[in-house]
Amino acid sequence: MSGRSAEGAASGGAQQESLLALYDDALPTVYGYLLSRCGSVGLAEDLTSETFLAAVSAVHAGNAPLSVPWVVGIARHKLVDHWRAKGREEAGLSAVASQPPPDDDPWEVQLDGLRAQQTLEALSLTHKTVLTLRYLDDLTVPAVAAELGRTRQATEVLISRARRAFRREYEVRGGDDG
Amino acid sequence: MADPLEALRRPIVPLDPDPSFTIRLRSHLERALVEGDEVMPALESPSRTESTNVTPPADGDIAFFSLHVPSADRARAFYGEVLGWRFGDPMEPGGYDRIVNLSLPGGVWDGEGVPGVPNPGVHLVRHVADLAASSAKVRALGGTASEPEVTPYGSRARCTDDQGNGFALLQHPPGVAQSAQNGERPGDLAYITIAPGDEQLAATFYGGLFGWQFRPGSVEHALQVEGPTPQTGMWGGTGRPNVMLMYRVDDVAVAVAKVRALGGEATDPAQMPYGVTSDCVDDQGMAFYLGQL
Repeated sequence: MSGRSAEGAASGGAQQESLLALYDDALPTVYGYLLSRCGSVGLAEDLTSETFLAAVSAVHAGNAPLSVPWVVGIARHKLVDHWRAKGREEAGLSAVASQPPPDDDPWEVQLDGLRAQQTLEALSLTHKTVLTLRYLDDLTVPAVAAELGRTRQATEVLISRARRAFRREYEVRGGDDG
Repeated sequence: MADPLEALRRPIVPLDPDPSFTIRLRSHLERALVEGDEVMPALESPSRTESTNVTPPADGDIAFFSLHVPSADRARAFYGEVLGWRFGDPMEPGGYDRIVNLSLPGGVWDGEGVPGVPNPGVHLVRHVADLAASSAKVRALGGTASEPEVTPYGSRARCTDDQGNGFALLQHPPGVAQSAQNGERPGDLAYITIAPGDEQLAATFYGGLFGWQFRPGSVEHALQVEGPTPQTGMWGGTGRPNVMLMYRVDDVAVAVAKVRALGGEATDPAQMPYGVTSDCVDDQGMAFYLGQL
């Protein structure tokens, strides 16, 4: 606390109470979001912990809006950061595997939930990340671009490649009903 | 044609983490808030929970329940649909299928049997502050207690009471809080009925072990137990060992329809002084009941 003014400490006290209240409110939402995207209790707990510690840092920096959507936004960053770090390990492989996208013909299918989930898990982390943001989280393309720190055009290309990768993988898994 | 990938949309379903994680992280955040600009390490140790303001469990409170069933997969499907239970990875290889969205932890199990727990049947794991002392009491009261085993949840001893009913004792880690008397959220345990065989023998055994008090219940052979959470009663009327759980639901009529649709049996909902209930049997022969409290 050294170097902090008395007023700063006082308003910080109120913010601290608010952050703990937000923790009580938002924890199930943050944890539910992370577990449903990453599928592992241990990882979901780690990312939940990182999310709220980042919220504490924002409180210290004095610019924390302290709302549930705000903290879910932090959780999303943490998930994307995690996949990105893990994805760098896979980068060599996915560079080899990437192919020019085929022609964009319309795809008319009713996705089977379990198969779609397995398909998503089988994709490269880059593709999984962008599809998670665009479809599971239902973000707009500009919001996905902002999350990934890419331009809108680059994001559109990435989404388009990820969709085709998803379709190829989904159809491979289809067996008899294609 | 709508974009087929729109079907991937997954709205956030709030889900409570393991209660001990919730407590540990909150305590960690409190420290991080107080310790100013110091960068806090990631959460790792459960040992720093002594400052949190929680009521610890009393001896005999339920730490964990598990349903022993012929098929865990069928139980997951059935209770997932009827009670909204969701399941997570086991905490140890070959461990229980954990229910992850309840206030009080639970699981389903179709592996090797536990002495004194029928299948289908319910295995109850109870908190104690001092495992060695409580295990010695179990033996002194005519029951059996295994040597302590270390599990991810704490040190545990498998026990039977003097009538052969199986249960376990768990020495709880610090920071664990006492659970609610009748559950808090849908799917939670709301009430436990133990049919121990002879209720008077059981009152002597469990009263001696945990310090529980007993009052006569509303029917012959019934005892209300004062002490444990969740709320518990004993009934010797069946003459055979059995544990029956009541689960909390928002709407008994909806849950009854699901039980019947999934191949179980359920009585029509009945209004009791404490809520609306139905007596049920699941699709594998496990008896339970539902309470809209």
